[in-house]
Amino acid sequence: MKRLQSEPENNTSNSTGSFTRAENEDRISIWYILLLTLAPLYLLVLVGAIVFVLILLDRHFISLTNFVLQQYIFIAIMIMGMAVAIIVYTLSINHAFRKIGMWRQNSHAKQANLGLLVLAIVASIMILPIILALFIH
Amino acid sequence: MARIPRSHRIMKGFLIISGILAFLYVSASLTIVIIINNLPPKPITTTPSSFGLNYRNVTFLSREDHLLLRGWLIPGILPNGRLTVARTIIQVHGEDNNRAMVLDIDASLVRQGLAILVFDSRGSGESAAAPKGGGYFEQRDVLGAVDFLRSGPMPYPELGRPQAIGGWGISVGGDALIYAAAQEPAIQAIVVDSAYATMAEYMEPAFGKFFIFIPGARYSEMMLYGLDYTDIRPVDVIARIAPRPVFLIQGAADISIVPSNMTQLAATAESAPDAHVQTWLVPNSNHIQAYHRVENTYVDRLVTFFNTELNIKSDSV
Repeated sequence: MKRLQSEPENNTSNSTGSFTRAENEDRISIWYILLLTLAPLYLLVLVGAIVFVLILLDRHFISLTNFVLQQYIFIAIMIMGMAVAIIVYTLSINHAFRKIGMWRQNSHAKQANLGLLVLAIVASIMILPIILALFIH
Repeated sequence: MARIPRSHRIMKGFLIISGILAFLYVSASLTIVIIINNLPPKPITTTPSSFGLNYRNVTFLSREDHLLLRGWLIPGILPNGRLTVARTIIQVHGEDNNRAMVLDIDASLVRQGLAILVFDSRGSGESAAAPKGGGYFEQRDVLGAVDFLRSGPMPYPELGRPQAIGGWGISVGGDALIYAAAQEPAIQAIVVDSAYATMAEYMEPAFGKFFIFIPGARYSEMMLYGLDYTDIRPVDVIARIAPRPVFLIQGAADISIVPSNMTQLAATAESAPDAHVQTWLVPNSNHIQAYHRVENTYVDRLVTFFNTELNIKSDSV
């Protein structure tokens, strides 16, 4: 009797435990999916912020009387910033697609679809300023 | 090897295309702004001596940011042949031009007894390279010219210092002059030819079919040079020039800076108490062409305006 009682109790506690774990996994994986698929965007923002700070430092430390030097440094920062941005964007997209492919192979279709949806939002955000520029200028 | 699902390929394509477009847009916007601010200055090919005029090379510093500016001081010629700087006009050229822009008109004014201080604005001619500000940064150049006339080493010491200072600005030079006169009472009267009321009015015709780059160029300019073109609004300061007189000239067929700009500037200037505003809409004249279209009338009207508005002691003339 005890055993019967204890068994269902144990079963219940096991099933609750595994349910909670699965829920946690789902919750973690949502954050992980967002972290992974939003990476092209936030890494670009990070690169942009670094470029902006470097430009401000250039403007602050090189006076206008050395305008030509200031311009060369601007151009160097821009070219490097653009190169880093392109590399970061490409790598983060490839990484995200590799992970999404793995999820799909492992029958995590829900996560894979969510990842694709976030990437679609990223692509839309990338192109949004250009579309806005067509109408608001 | 697992086959890549179609949805992945479509999404990857979308991301690549949007990424390429975004990078091209940002690169083009930055390039436009850097090119505009680093255009090689137009060389100076004539001097006042080509018009038989006496002149001296002068150098002075812009107010506030101390850039080295180069120009000419051309004394006026009185009817008796004597030279004078009693009434001196600071002449401010337009964008992507230099101090020789309207030297023929300068020569006509000089022969009517008006001295001319004409100089290369920042980034133009032989003056120091610097970002262009559509008249906003250039106001410091005009103020530097005022400082030079008031306290700089005069190249004609025997003629003394000017008793009255006027200004004549063309296109963005006119906007620089409006900004400078609004804060410098030493500029006693100004003539502004083909200036915009707000830079926003000027941007769309200036970019033409590349208008899509206006927002990108705006933010690039803000980041690189700390200037937001939407803040450049001479119309907001022109009323501060009163009671000093303002003469606004505009080509009726101007497609770069349309005539409504003059209407806006005039309406705001006239709103000040004791305002003295004159306007002249020159028929069939495109941007900064009025002085060549009606040259004699143009010179006569400028001379009449400055002789009337720049008061000096009669024995100086």
